[in-house]
Amino acid sequence: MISGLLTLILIAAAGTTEAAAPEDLDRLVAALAPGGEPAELHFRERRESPLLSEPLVVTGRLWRNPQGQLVRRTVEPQEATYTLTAGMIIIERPGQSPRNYSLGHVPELAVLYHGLSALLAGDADALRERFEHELSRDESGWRLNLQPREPALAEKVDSLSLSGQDDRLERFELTLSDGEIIETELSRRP
Amino acid sequence: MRHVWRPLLALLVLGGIGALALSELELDYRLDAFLPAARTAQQEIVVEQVAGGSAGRLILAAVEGEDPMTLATTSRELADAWRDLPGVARVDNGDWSDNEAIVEKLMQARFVLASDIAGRVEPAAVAAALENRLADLALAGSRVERLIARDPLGLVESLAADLAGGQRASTIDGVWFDSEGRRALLLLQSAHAPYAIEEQAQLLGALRERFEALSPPGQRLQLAGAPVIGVASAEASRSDALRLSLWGSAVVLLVLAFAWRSASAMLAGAVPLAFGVVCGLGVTVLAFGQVHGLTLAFGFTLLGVALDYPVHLFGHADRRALSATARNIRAPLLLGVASTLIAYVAIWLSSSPGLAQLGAFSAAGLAGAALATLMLPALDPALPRRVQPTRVTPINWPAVPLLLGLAALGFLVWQGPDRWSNDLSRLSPIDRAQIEADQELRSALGGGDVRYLIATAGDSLEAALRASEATVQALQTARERGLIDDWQAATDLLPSESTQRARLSAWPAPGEMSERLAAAESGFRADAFDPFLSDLAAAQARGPITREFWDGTPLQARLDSQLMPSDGGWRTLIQPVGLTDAARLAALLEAQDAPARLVDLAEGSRAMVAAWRDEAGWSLGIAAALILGLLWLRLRRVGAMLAVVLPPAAAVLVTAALMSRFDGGLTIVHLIGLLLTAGIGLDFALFSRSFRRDPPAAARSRRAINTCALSTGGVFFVLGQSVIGMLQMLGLTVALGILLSWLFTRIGQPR
Repeated sequence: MISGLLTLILIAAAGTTEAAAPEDLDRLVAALAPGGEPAELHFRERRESPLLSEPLVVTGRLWRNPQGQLVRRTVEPQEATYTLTAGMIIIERPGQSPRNYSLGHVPELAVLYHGLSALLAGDADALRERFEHELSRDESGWRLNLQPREPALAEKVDSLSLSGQDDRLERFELTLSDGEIIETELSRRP
Repeated sequence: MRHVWRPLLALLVLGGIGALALSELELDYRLDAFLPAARTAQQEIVVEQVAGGSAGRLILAAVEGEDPMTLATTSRELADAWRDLPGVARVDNGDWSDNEAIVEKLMQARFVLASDIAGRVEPAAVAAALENRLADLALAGSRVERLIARDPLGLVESLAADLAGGQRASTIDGVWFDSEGRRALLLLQSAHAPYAIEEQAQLLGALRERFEALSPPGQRLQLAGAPVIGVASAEASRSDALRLSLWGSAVVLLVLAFAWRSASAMLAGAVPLAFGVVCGLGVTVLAFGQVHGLTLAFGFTLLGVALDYPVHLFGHADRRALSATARNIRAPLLLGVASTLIAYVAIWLSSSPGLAQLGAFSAAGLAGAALATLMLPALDPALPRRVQPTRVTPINWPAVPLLLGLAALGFLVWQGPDRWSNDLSRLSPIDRAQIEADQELRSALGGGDVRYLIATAGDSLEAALRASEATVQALQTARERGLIDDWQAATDLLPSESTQRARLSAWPAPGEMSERLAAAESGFRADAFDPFLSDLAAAQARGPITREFWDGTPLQARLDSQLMPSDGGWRTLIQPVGLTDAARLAALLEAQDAPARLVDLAEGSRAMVAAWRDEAGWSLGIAAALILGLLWLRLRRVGAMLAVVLPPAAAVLVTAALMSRFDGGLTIVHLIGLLLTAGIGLDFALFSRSFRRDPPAAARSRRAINTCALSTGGVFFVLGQSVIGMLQMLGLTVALGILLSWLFTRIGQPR
């Protein structure tokens, strides 16, 4: 019993010390960064709205293309492609010509772009530059909490919280300032 | 010195009256005043478009020098900053999403503007639309909830895209860009009249100031459009006019100083001209109520003839009192004036208001100057101090002007229609290079295709709109055959009442619409679209929209440019986009029995210029016949007639032939120049003829003619150096004409 408690305390202590270690973010980013071929993540996102009788489920794939853009191709509710670049989102929907908009209009996507593309590129410095970060680990895996430093984004987005196990990113959660939470589950396979 | 005071006083009084009148006058700068009067509906459209109802107020703006997203932000900030400037009627950068007024208007009008309603409310279409709304929600979340609830079918988005049809500019971040994404483009409409140059200049200054205030680092603003061109060319012509009038005055002063060597005579010599200007202004204002800016510019030059009158007076002065000289020259002077007056009165009768003013101004000015010349002795000026010439050696080769005149006539006949130039833009006071810069930006915005318009008419607003709708049907066939890409029609914003009623009744009742939305089973709540359903009920209760519906929105200006009252009814103009083969489209419109006409603005303006010149040619021909009749009444002998008419007639013909050959064809401006030449040449011949039997008088007459030719010819030669096309044409024509008149008068008298 005592030993059990001790183990728990030790683990908790170990967690705290690891969180404080600056090199831990670099290790996580290095572990997550795909080696060689471009990684593709399957995602499943839930979004609530007063207009909907049940939460909207969006599924599709997410990858970083050779130009460094983040491509988000949805299957549900509609087949469409959204390409995110540093300042712009290009929307391609069936039967419509492509449209482009500033990412400034959709701050949650801007946060997502900066967070995920830095992770997928294995660039821990870019993450530190853009976000206040907090990394914690427990037996269920790791959790990286990011808060945008840029005031315009911070005004609209509270945090982007990524979590997973070992070298796998399994889910992220975007918390918007108005309280809306967008949950996305990620997997290597559909 | 005692001879100086009276002329000086007279000149100061006249100058004061003239300056006062000019400062009080409201100058009219409408460009169409000098265009021919329209006779047909087609010509009316051409004049309206050339005079630039709305096109004359459009300012194009481009911002470059940064990455597209930054430029898009600047475009929005700039549009905001410009919108509340006084003098700005509207600013458009392609993004209406921030413009609550337009979005609200489109929300109300969407039920009568959207076509193919049956297709939009069938189950598959409703399901596809709701799928798009889910995707919107997945993308932008709570920000688009209100819009989705009000417009689940996406009608406003598709209407906005349709209304932008024809603007082929691409958009980045929702605002207009050129096709390379290098420059953000904005469109402004000035509230000032196109040729209110002062106000336009202030507005352009304010626009640039606001851009500087935003001070986006590394970004540059470029402005174009008719107001920019107008302001730039006004500045250019102002400095041009100043330079030319300084040089012109210097030439006259130099020649007269040499000829007269008397300050008093020179002051007195200016009095007839000043009196002529005052008379001209007075009569023009009395007859027309206002004076056009160009009338003044040209009128002053036409009064150049008046400069000759005192030269003749002082030139003929001998040892007797000046009043005796005045009596002496009265006969030839009045005959010359009467002849020239006939020609100017003929111009006065022209159907073009600007030309008519010009005729009135010149006729009154000339008559006043001639009378003032005969009254000059009353001012008691000093006489010119020069040794009197005593002898002349006459050269009598009348065959030379006769043969040259006949050769020139033959050349003009042989040239056929090529002797005329039908390019309306040569008559525009605008610099060509400015126009090209403007066209580049205009085509970047996708509005470059302005040569053709499709016009429909009706005796009521409804009839005109129905005709436009029938034409749009035919245009859809034309699009299927690849003849045209798109178009902008008045019925995009205001369908005919019958079409609006048909559309309203094609919409299901709100209850049924609600069922159709629910049947799509898209996951939306049953009550999610209540705002949409109440909008639908309101639209069905309200009925059709009217023309006034768009008042106060940026779309009002657009509708006004496409729908206008005309004589006894209404007219609509459809602007084709991407028209490849005008002849085939015209044939197709005819084959489809479309109640419309394809108007070719370029061809229309050519035909009008030709018709206008024909009219002017006819009235000048009649005037010439009247002048010959008048001369015959006075002279009564074939020999005398020939001596008086041959030199100016030959000079006019040779000048016409030379200008037609070397100045790209004759225009109405050349005709005016030739008329002026004829008047001056006729005076030369009359004076030369009158005093030929008295050698000392003949010698004085010759010297006076030399002085005239040198001073007036010099002034017009200086004018010929202008950068403004119209003034250059006029100056060169008259300078050449005076040189030839002088030469032919000198050598062309029969023995």
